[in-house]
Amino acid sequence: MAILEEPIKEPVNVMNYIGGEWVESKGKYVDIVNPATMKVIGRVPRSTADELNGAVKAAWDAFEEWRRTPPVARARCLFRLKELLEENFEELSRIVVMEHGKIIDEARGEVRRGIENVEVAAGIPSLMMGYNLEDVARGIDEYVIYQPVGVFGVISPFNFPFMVPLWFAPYAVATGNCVIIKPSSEDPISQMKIAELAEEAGFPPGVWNVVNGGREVVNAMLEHPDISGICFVGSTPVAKNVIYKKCGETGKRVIAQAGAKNFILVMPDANLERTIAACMTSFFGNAGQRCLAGANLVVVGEGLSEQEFNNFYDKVVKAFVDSASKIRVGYGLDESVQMGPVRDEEKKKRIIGYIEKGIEEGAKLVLDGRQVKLIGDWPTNCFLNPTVFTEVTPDMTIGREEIFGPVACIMRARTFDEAVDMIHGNPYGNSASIFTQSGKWAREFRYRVLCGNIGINIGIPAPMAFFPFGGMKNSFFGVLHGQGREAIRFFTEAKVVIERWF
Amino acid sequence: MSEVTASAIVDFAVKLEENASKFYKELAERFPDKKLSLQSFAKTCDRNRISILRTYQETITDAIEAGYSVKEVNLNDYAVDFSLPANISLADALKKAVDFEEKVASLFSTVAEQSKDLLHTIADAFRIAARKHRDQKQKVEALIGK
Repeated sequence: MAILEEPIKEPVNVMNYIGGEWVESKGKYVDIVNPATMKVIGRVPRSTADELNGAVKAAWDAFEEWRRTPPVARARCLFRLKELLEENFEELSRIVVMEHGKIIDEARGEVRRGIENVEVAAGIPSLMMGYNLEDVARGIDEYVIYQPVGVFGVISPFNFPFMVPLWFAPYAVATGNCVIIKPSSEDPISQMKIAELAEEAGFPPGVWNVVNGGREVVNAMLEHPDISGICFVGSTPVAKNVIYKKCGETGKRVIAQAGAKNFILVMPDANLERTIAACMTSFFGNAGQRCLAGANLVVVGEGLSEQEFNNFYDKVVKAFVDSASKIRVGYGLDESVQMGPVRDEEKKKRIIGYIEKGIEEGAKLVLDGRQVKLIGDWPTNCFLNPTVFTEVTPDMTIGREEIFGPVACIMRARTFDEAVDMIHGNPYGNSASIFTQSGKWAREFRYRVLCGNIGINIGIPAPMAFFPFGGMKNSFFGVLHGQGREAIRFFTEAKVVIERWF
Repeated sequence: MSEVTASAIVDFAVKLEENASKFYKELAERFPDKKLSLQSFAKTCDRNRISILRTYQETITDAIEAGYSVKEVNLNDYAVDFSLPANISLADALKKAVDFEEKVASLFSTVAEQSKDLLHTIADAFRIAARKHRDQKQKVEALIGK
């Protein structure tokens, strides 16, 4: 099938957007590589702490005016941004394919999810309303008003370069704050495009800022006394030991979404055909680089005899492996392709390390994705095909740790309780799903499982923009979550007014 | 047979509608006495194109199994010849139209049926477009009969 036209023809020079100006960084520049073609598609600066400090100043300079801008006027900026994102929907989606590697359906889904957050945040005149009660004592009224806090930093990961900053930034600016986004330095181009559209949408200078870079920018954000809060999505060690800890020390609000090891239970009564289709997307969509990706498929033998359970397990494994082995891997701009490359060679190496560890620890490799087979003639540097292990146990490294790649681990649990214990034995708590036709098991699962996002016959339980993105245990650090009403609460201070007139 | 991605199906459908619309518009230029009918056929194709594309773009987040939803369609079976030779008669051109209206309706119905469990709204858009092509086929046949 023909390749869709690439929107990036020449390497993009990624710039910072600070105080309404496009600024060339003084930092060192590094290449941005399309992982499917291995072509350089841009270069991105490692901005300096001074540049970040400049953005903080610009944001605070804008804050007083912006917070006084009526919510309905702020909402209109968001409506215009939404329209511009729609107009550029296809170009943005293809940029995401080129900078990240995912397939075009996934990229369009990502862009749509981002736009939905802008849509929800545009409801700010209603969402930001406080509440009141007359006569809390005779002649005395009391009410709560929500006010913006100041300047927020958003530190986003490589796996959803377009969408993740939009889990936070639209709500931050809708509530009257200013925002500084630090995109992933691996795929920052779509964020530059969003900033261009934010400028066109009429956000005043300093309200929406982008500072590109790496650790130096992150550290400067964390240390800066005038940054009111941080929204972070990334790995657990960084979320816990760096972001959460540092925000505690410096008194910043924090949303730190972290790693995951997501379990998917298949009960004996599950609709197998649809379960397998859902699992393919869950385990291998985005090449497994998704914090809601399925990682461990647990085949549950509740109510079955030993022989029946073995037969059921074999049937699930066969259907899963058959489907996984047919997944077409290639460049995401080829519409026939179902899985793209992983983001870079280092990540591929890391995933292969896990596959080797799985073999070493005694899991059975039934589909070896290291044997790369592609649709089209592409350099294989970042490509892997789907990998499936069976007879995995929760204590094995591959059953326990986040692989963040297209590797599925299939496990057995004799009973539902044993499967739930497996989930609870893992330190992560991002998501878990169950496939069943039984309301009883579905309810038990929803009720008991300690994970922030629960799927019932859903492979990727990704909350829509008007719901918070959950997360528990080592998958989340903070109190309030991104998206929806919790984001509104996160970005505002509740002020209580008690009023009496003589 | 392997799965067809939602993107590939939608792209193929959009091109079919574009070409069908062009076909009717060109025919309308050549045969002014049937202009109104032919232009209305083109308009139906344009509306279908917009509807399918918009539905896909607006619901692709819900269509999370987009890569695995349509299993038994070989798009090559639905290739359509939209060419209009210079000296083609109206009757022959309309016969061509009858053929492709049936083919497009058949493709869209198949896609709608196969993807109804996983693509939901997108499947509905295809189902409606299939119905419109079947209705249009009857109108084209009626035009031949006149």
